[in-house]
Amino acid sequence: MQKGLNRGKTGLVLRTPTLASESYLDFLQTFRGKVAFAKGAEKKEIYNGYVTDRLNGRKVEDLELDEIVSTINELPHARVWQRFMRTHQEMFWRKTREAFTAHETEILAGLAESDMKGPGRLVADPDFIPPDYTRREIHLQPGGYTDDPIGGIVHHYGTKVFYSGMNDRNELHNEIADGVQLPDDGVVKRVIDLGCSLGQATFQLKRRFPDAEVWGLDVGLPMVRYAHQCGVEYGIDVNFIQALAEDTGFPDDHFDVVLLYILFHEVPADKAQEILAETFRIMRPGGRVTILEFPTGGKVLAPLQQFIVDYDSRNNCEPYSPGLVYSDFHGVIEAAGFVIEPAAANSNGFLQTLSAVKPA
Amino acid sequence: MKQPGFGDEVDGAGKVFFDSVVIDNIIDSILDLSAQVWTHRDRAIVLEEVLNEVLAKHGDLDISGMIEMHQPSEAQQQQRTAEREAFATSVFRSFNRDIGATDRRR
Repeated sequence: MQKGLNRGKTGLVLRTPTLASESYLDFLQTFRGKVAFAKGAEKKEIYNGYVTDRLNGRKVEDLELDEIVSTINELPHARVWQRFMRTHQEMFWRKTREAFTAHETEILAGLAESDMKGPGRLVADPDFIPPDYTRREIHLQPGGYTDDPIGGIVHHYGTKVFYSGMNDRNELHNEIADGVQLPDDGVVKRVIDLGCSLGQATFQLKRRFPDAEVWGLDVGLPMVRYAHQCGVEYGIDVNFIQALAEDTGFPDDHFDVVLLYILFHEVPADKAQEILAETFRIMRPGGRVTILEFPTGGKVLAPLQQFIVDYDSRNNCEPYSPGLVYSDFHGVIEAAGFVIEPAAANSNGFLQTLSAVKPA
Repeated sequence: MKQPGFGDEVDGAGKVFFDSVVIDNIIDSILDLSAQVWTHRDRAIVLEEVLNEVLAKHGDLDISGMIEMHQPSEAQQQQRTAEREAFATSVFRSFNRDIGATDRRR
C-alpha cells in the first residue's frame, strides 16, 4: 500500500505522509484546545485578581513585568500550562518536519515544477540573502520562515495544528481579507499583503478584488514558493515575491490597499518603523492599510495578558514581540504619516485591528 | 543575537518551568505517551474499518484469530524491535535534558 504525499487533503491542507504521523498530530491538535490557560472571563478574573490582590496600594502599571510573572508563577497551574504549551509546540513541529522530511526530494521537485507556472508569477532574486534578524525559529518551527527549503508545507501543517483545525480551509485568513477596508474613493487597482507567509489571506484578497493586481510579499522563500504552488493549483492569478517589507522594490504611490497581518511583532522596533515608512511610500495618496496585530501599550494591559505575551516571547521564539507590545505603536504609525481611523474589530479576541489612510 | 542552529528550538536544550526539572520531564513524557497511545488507538480504529470493508467483499475471515496466531519472521521481529526502541526514545526523550537545565528556568 502506498504511503506518502498522495493521502489526500483535510480541507486545503495536505495530509501527512503516514497515518501514524497524522494521528499523533491530531492528538496534539485536540490537546491544544484542552489546555487553554485562563480561558473565559471568569478564569481571567481569577488570575488577574491574584495579581491585583497583591498590589499593596500600587497600580498594575506600576508593576515591573518580572513581578507580574513571578506572582502568576506562584500558581501551580500556570507552570503546568507553560510546560504543556512549550512541549506540545515542540512535539508538533518536530513530528510535522519529520513526517515531510521523508519526502523532501518529491516536495522540492513539486515546487520546482510550479515555480515557472502561472497564472500568477513568483519573483525571487537568487542573490537575496535574508538578514539575520529574520532568521529566527519563530514559533519554534525548525528553520523558521527562511531556512527550511520545505518550510512551506511544514508551516501549513504545523499551523493547522496551531489553529486547532479551525483554519483548514483558510477560514481565519478569509475573515481577515474580508475585513480589509477600502480607500474612501473605492478604487482598488493594486493590492499587497506584506508578510504574506503562505498567501492564505492573499488568495482571498484576489477573490475579493478580482480585477486588481494582487501581490503577496514575504522574506521567506520557502513560504512564497509554497504559496505560489498553491496559487498554481487553485488557478488564482496572484503574484508572490520574496523581499523585505522594509525594502519592497515597488514604485512610489503604487498600491491602493495594503494588508499587514501579524507582521510587526515578528520584527525589531526599528524595522517596524522602516516597514511603516516603506508602506507609506508604496501606497498612493488616499490608499488604505489594514493592520491586525498584537495588543500594544503594554503597561496598561491586564496582568494576565502581559504574562502571556512574556511567555510567548521567551518560550515560543517571539524575540521581538515585547518591543511592539510595550511601544507606542499607534504613535509610530502616525509618525510615518498615516491617519488612523476607526476599524471594525476582528473575532480573534487577542489581536487589534487598525485602519490607516495615507492623506490625499 | 546569536544565530540559532537548525532545529535548536525543538531539539536543543529546551526550557524548564519547575523548580525540579524532573517534573518538566515527567509532564513531557506523559504528553508524548498520550500522543503515542492515541496514535495506536487511531490505527486500530482505521484497521477495523478497513478490515470490515474487506470482509464485506471477500466473505468471513477470522481476523482476531489470525492476529493471535501470527508468527513473525526474523525481519518482522527486527522491525518491531526498532519501532519499540523509537517508541521508548520518544516517550522518554525529555529525561535526556541536561542536568544544568535548571539554570535556564526563567
